[in-house]
Amino acid sequence: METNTFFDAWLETQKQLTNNWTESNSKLQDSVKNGAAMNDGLNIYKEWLAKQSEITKAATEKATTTFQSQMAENAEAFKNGKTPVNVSEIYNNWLNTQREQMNKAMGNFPSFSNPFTANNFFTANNPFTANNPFATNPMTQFTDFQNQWMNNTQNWMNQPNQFSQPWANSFQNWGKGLTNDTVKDTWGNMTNISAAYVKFYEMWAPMFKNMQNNTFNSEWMKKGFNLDSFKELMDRTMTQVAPVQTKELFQQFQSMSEVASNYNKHMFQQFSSSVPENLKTLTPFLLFGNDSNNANSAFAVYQRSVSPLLRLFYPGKESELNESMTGMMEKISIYGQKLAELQQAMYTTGAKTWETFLFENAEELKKGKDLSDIQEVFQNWVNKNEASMIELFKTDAFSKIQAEILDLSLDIRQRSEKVAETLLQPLPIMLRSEADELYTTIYELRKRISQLEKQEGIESSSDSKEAKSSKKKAATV
Amino acid sequence: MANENPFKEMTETTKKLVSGYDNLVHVDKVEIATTPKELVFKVDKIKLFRYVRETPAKFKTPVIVSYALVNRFEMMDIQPDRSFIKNLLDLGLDIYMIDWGYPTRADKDVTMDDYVNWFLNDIVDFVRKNNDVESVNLMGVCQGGTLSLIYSALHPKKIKNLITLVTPVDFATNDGLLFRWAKDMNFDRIVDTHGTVPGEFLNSGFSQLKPMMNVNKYKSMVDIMQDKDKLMNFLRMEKWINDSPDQSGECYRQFMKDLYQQNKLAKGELELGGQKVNLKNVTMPLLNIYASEDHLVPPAATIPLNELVGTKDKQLYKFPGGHIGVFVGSRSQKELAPAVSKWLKDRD
Repeated sequence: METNTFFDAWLETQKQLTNNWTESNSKLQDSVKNGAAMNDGLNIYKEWLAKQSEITKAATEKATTTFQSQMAENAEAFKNGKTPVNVSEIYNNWLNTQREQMNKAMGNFPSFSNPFTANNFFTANNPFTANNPFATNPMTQFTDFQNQWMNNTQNWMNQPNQFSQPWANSFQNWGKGLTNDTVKDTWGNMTNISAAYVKFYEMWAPMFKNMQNNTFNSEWMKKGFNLDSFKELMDRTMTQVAPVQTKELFQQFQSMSEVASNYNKHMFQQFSSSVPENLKTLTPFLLFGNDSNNANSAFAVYQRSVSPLLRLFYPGKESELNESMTGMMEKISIYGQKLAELQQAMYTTGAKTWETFLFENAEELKKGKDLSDIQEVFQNWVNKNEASMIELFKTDAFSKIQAEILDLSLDIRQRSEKVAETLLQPLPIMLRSEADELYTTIYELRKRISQLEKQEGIESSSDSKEAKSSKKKAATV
Repeated sequence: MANENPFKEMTETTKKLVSGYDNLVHVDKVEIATTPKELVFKVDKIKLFRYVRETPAKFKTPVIVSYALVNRFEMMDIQPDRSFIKNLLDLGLDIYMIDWGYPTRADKDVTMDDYVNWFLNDIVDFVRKNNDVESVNLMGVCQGGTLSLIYSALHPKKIKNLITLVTPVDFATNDGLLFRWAKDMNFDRIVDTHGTVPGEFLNSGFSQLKPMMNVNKYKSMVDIMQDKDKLMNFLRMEKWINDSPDQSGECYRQFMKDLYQQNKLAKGELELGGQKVNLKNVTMPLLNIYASEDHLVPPAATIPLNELVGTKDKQLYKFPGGHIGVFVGSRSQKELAPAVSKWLKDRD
């Protein structure tokens, strides 16, 4: 039976993912014991991510195909007056098994699952500021044990944190008093960078103190590396690196869905009561959501955005809509993987630059260089960070993945617009594709009129008036 | 010492922000491009302005300036003491400026052929007629330079002298990140999805070329905002840089695919309106100006032009600075306009 095949595939995938997790956790815990977490951790993460991507890619392809046929069957069953396949029970069994496996695998290291749980996809328009369910900061993997160490041994280091955020917020609030748009935007950008500067200071100060005390060394640096502060520093300084405007895309799509929904809410009630449940249990997003209580946020967003559409299935359009929506889901999942890879590359580059920067400064200090001018030190870091990022941007790998992410985001947008048009078709409004056709016709007419005017030696009334005025002016000079 | 008081830096920064904020609150308007000009011609949605002269022009041949379709021409007249246009006017030139406008989705089908053989051609014809001259001087900036170059190759008799400023011609280079990244982009998808390509999208790509540029820029603002004049200079640039028109999809598609990806212009393979664009037809005098530190249009994309054209009267002018510094930098105010003016005077 197709359903069994589908869930068998899912279960197999989950086992593979769990094995990969367990293996990575084990390596990471060994690294922590050996005091090499900072160096090894990034490699472990990279390796883990590569495997995860490989597994999920294969699974997504298979799952999507199966999901499509499952949905088509359900649609067909509904049309013929039969009850759609109820997969809830199978799903629940599968989920429980998965949960047990997960608890076993995670052991004392639950934070390792953070990137794939409970975040808000709507804010995922920037890999650095994003709470993207896929593309969370790779280094948050290690934040928990780092923070614990920091709290126990170096509480004073976090003191500036306690007021730096209110400080930044208060200045950002001042922007509300500015009326000119240019001024307001400029103020917002400037206070953001000022806050980044303060964040830099928070990270630099304890390192510098240890350099002065001759207690700075590799071990200290690894333990004292505050990942939260580092992430915020990167987030604030790299805000313009945003491969796609995902937030706008999904909000727009949701809004269109709601418009359609309001017009059609009483239609196909029987279908609407069964299909969303089926969708909930079959979505490939669950590949990424291993915490059933929180539910995968991307999936939740998908539900908010897309499930209203399912209530609006039109006779004869089910397959088309299914195809568009499952295609979107597949693309979104791949998009998430690629975004995670891109983000990983950038954070890793930033972290390595930070490490090099610290050791170089420690050496300079030993040689007697005065490092007390924090602005100079900050500028030095800015220059180094920019240079290393540009080196990364120059690589073929970066160029390719960036292009791929952009292409995927646009593909998703095209698909979402297609779905929206299908849903809005019965309404007395002009659709975008219809407007585009009209624009093309108007453009052709504009061009044709211009050609005819030239052939006939006619000047348009506005042009000739302006030309005469200009002639007059020209004559006076 | 900085580390002895962990709050010292924050206190200093706070003081600067507080005093600077007072200046910001009193800013009502941020004005750019204030040199007087009048609208003299329109073709479709494209406008042609002519700068007002207080005294008769010292040159017989007028200059038409063709800025890029990305961003706005106002940068060439950002403020009175940093205005390439005002400097040229002061030196006696008669200047027309093309305003390519703000394409909307209704303009998605406008092609590169339209820009060159319809809009630019009508503008050139208008100025020839209006000034009663056989040919005009054409000055193209960045992408507007590429369009001017193509036009000059297709209509060489109408152009007396050609000036290209920071103009990309040889796209085979990977020196600039844009040139590298463009090789991997799916431009059909970009155009098919957007119709008219958003300026915001283009701007985000430019920002990424110098990923810490905003840090440097806004960090410097903290230090200068107590000085009203410097603050206004800063805000004028901010206003200009955030004003990014969208681009007509079909023109963008051909520009990116034929030029950035396939380098057809330099190879002599570009076709426009059924005609092949042969750079050997550029037989009028050429002044090719490039910026040595240009990260948007690297010298490697600009310099080869002089080897590709047919004219023997050609000059390569190296300006030390970046893509925008050519127009707004203090050195430019003293050097560039006089150099251009002299070159044109010798060929008027």
